[in-house]
Amino acid sequence: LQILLNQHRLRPGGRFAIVGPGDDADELAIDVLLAGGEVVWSGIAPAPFLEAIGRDGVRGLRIGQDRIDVDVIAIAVGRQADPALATMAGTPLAFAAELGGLVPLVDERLQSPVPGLFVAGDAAGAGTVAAAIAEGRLAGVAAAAAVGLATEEDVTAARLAGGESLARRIGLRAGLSPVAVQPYE
Amino acid sequence: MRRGAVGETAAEPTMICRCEEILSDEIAAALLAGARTVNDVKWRTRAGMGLCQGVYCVPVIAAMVAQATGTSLAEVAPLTARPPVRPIALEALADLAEPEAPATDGTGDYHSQDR
Repeated sequence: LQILLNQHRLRPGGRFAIVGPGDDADELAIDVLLAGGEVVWSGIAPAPFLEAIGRDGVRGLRIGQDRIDVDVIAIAVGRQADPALATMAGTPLAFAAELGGLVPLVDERLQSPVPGLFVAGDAAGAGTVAAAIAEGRLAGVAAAAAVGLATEEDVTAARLAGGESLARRIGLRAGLSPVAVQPYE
Repeated sequence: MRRGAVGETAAEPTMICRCEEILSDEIAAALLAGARTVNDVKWRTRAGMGLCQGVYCVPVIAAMVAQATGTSLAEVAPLTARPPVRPIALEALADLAEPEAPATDGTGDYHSQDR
C-alpha cells in the first residue's frame, strides 16, 4: 500500500482499515491521511474476530459483532530486511528478529566477510529511514577508509554521528551465528 | 485442527503464497510428504517462485518448517538467493533514451526483407 500511495501516487480507495500493531501501522495511517484517505479502523484482533467481507473485492470488515464499510484492508505486520544482493555475493546470513529476519553478517564497520563489500540500510536490516541514512554514512566512510581515502577518525565520527540507535543496530549483530545458506549458482 | 499454530486461522485453508496461489494446506501436505527446508517446500509447491520471490510467504513457510522439523526459526535456511527483481513503472521505461532507428533497406520499409 505504501508503494501504491507514495511511489505510484495511487490511492486504491477512500475508506481504509489498518490491521496490525505498532509503528508500522501508525506510519501507514499517516500515509493514508496524507494521500487524502480516511482511516476508519485500525488495531489488532485475533483472527476469528476479524473477518474481511466481500466476494469480488473488499466491501467491509467484521470486528466481532460490528461491521464497518471499508474499501481497503491494509495489513501492517512489520518489515523485512532485503539481503538478496549481499547473499548472492556470498555474505553469510544470521537470524535477528529485531532486524526483520535474516540479515547479512557484517562487522561494526558494516563490512561483510566478502572482500570490499559493505552492507547498509534495508539490505542490512529492517529499520527506520534515519537508521538507513546513518548506516549508509558509516558504510560509505568505512569503505573509503578501506581504500585509504578516509581516516580512522572519520570512521569513528560517522559511527558516533549515528548515535545510540546506530550503536544498537550494530550491537544486535554481534554474536549471531550464521545459518546454512544454499549458494547462488 | 489446533488453534493458534502458524498458518492456521479461523478460515482454513489460508493463502500463504499469493503470487503462486499456494494455500496453507498445500504447504502442510508438502511437509507431511517429507519437505524439510523452505527450498523443499518451494520445489514441491512453487510457493516463493512468483513475482515477489518469497517476500510475503517465506516467513510463514519458514515458521511452518521450523514447527514441522522441531527446530528454531533462527536455524531455518532461506530460499536460495536469486537476483532481486522489482516491478517498475511504465514511466521508467518510457523515460529511457530513444533507441537509434534501425537501419532500413533503402526502401524505407523495415520489414520488406521479411516478406
